[in-house]
Amino acid sequence: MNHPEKPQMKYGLIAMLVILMVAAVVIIGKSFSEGQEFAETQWQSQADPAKTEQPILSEAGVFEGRDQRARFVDLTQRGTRTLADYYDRRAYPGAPPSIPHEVSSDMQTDFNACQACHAKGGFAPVFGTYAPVTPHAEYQNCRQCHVPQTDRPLFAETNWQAQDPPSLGRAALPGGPPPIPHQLQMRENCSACHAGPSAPAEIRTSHPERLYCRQCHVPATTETPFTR
Amino acid sequence: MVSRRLFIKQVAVGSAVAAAKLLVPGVMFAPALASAEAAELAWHKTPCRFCGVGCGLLVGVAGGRAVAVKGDPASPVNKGLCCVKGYHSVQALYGKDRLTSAQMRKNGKLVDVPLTEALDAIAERMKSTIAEHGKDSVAMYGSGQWTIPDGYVASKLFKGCIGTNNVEANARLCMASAVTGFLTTFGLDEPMGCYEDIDHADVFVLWGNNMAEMHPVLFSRLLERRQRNPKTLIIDLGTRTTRTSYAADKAILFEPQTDLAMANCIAYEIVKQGRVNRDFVKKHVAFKKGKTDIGYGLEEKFAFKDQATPANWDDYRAFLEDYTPEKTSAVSGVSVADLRYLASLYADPNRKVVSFWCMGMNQHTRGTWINNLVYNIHLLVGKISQPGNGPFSLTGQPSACGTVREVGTLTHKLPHGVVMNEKHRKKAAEIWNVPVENISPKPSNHTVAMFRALDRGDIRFMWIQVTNPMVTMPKLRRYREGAKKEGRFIVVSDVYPTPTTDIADVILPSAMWIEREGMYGNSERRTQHFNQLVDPPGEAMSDTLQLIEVARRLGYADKFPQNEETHIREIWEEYTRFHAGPKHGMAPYELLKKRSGVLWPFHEGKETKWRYHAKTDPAASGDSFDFYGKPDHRAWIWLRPYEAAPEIPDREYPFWLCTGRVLEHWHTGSMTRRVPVLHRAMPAAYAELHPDDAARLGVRNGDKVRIVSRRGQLELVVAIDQRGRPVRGHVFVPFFDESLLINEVTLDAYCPISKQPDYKKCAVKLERV
Repeated sequence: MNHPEKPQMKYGLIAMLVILMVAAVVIIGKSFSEGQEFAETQWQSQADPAKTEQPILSEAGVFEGRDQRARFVDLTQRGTRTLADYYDRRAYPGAPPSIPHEVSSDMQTDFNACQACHAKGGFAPVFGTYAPVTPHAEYQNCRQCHVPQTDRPLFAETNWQAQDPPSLGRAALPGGPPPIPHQLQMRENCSACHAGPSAPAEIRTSHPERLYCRQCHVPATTETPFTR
Repeated sequence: MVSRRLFIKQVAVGSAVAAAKLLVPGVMFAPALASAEAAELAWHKTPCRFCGVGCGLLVGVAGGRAVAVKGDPASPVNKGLCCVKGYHSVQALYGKDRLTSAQMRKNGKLVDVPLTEALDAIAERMKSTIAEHGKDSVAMYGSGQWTIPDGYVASKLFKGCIGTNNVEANARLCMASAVTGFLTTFGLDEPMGCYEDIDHADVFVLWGNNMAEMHPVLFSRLLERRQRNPKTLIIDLGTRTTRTSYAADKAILFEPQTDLAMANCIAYEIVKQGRVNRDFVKKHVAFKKGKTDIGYGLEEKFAFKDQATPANWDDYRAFLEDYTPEKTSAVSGVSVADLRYLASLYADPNRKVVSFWCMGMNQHTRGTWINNLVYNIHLLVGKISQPGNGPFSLTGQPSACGTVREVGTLTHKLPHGVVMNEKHRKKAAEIWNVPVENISPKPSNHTVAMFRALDRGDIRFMWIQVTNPMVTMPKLRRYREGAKKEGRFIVVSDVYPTPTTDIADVILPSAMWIEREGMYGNSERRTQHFNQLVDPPGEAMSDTLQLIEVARRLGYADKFPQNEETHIREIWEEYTRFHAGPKHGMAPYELLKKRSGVLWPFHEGKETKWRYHAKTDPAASGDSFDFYGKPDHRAWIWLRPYEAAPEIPDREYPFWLCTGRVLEHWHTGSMTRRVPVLHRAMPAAYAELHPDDAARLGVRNGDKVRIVSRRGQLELVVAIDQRGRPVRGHVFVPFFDESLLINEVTLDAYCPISKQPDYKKCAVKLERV
């Protein structure tokens, strides 16, 4: 109160200092970036281009596998799961498999718990087997589709008949690449089911090192042959 | 074929009811199968029948039939891997409707006739047409799917014996801009590098090239390179989001035609940032200006001749001022940051860069220019002719390079040089053993002009081999109606009925691919020989022999004395005389038979992997780069501006139409649609729309739209977010489907220098059906 003009001066000084400091940072920063390799600075600012649009997963998924592969334990390792086990978990070919083991809680979506084993795969000592890898890691609400099973009897018997799973050995020529017999939706990432120790032996690829599955394996969309 | 499959039948013991009735018929382990089959199958090497990548295949033959395919591990192209088309390629031999006998139109209907009768009729008709209307009233329209001997005998017969330059090939529709690009910049055709560049490069820039679908085997090599060397970048430049975009590290979308501005902008930034390789530019580069505002070839007898005037560094800098990132961003829709980023990749002295392109840059009304402009970038930074550094023009057909570009089956070309050059004519006359006056010094008709001349009646006879112009010509209706006019005589050699055989007066059944001996030449200057592995069906005969038979009937037996057993070897030995020397030497026949392809220039027992550098090219003098294709031993940087496309969307026709291919089908699908796996994967053409445009039109997947242009219309099923996603205001349609001909809609504008039409840009409107 003795010096009513003093606080103003103080704030003025502080403001000036702040301005100077900001200016110094800007100038030094700018000269620093100007002095850098032109290419490097550009690259840094561009490293992670924002994805503005949702990719077409049926097209992009095969390459998403590139990132997933790094997360897989070992693509060449062989497990014990058979195709019969694989289909046994599904009401029909293409149905979401049920959960064959105990789950931690029925209160959560369980994403983190599921992730722990099903993102990367690998041996789960508790269950004495290799955990299957999810082909659609982008979905987080696992329990929306995957449910555990109890061994209680059915409410009523059913006449449901599951469709036969697609037959194996559909390659057109000996040694040729078999076409894809199933829908690709939510199964865009081929490596999830066709490579690694959790892949059923019958459908495990002999060449997991190849990066672009759909170069050779194309979907079978129609049965009608070509006529002019 | 199914009966030939070997399965180890085994019963899976299922634990569940559903699985218990499950018969699992065997496990498809490739190695196990191969050894089980080894006893019966004989494997023979051949290049693939389909695209220009030129994969080496091993075809398994048993009981006189081709029954299996595997990748040839000895081929440096694909190292044992194929794509889905290659693996099923042999099935294309066995379509039920193969043409097995000659047909002639009698009273308006095509009827079977003995082959000799058809060959006689062709020769008679050629003689009478020449007598009545002159030499230039007959024409040959061939293909980049011709084997090298096919193209060679066609050129010799028409240019050397008959004396007309009416020899063209469908490669005009796919590679002509690449050729004129190479010739204007370097003076010699075809890439300086080879596929091995992929194993050395750090950055791949794909200029309008959906490589994941169109060159899948090479694309897999890119992916493998990136996996081994994680700093590798794949940059996709396009007008549509594709499978390639998703695999790329960055995808940049630009407005059609503005690649011209983008390439100049990259050069501008390189200059502005002081990243020019001054030493390289000073020693090895010259600057040239050409004509501007050069038109689009839409007028009936359009003619254009470019002229190079010297320019200098200052002219070039001043020229680039129009292409600052800000100005370029405004035209192209690409952000300033992305343009600078692209420039930084080319400019970075620590990165090796390969640019790839194919139809996006070649099917372009300024196709020659955009080829020049991408070379400019590589020349400014000196990233060329070294392992992992270089511009690389890809091809679409198995022998677009080998047959059309090297043999020169284009109106202005000879196997060595051009018809306008007297020395080149003399050389051809000497090797062909014809009077030099036979060879006309004036080019006659390029492809579009040839079909226009057929419509007008200047051309009366046309022989079409190994291609399907009634699917592939732009603005199709005009050329189809022209070909069907009274007084036109069309001969078509093919393996299946197509829309082109539908308009034929005579159909000759051809022996296809491994049903005869031949050679192809792929994108990386690799010549690949294949033996006859199976018998052709019925009276089918190779295109080479068809041409020789007709030549003999025309009285040129002395020019075509080849023995049927050894004719391919004899033709090869005659043809390679044109190319002898370090600049274009070709491998001897025995070596081609033995190896999975040999690169030219083949000189003193050695392949040339990188041309124009003394270290790797025996034709280069000095101790570093030597662009010996030009008289001044320099590569030319061209000042080529951005000029707009001839037809731009407006109020009435608000959409851009782009056409192209899909992974499963090749060319017009006449072969791949007869391969069950491929047809079943991709049965019909579609119209690809952006989801927002689809919503605005009120159409959903599976609904139909009518695509209307000023030239024609077509109804197609809508595909949203299936194979690719065009940007708003664009529609994409593949061209393989002969019952849904998108070329009824396209425009026949072409690059005035290369005469190659632009199938990627015209204006259309969409109507909900």
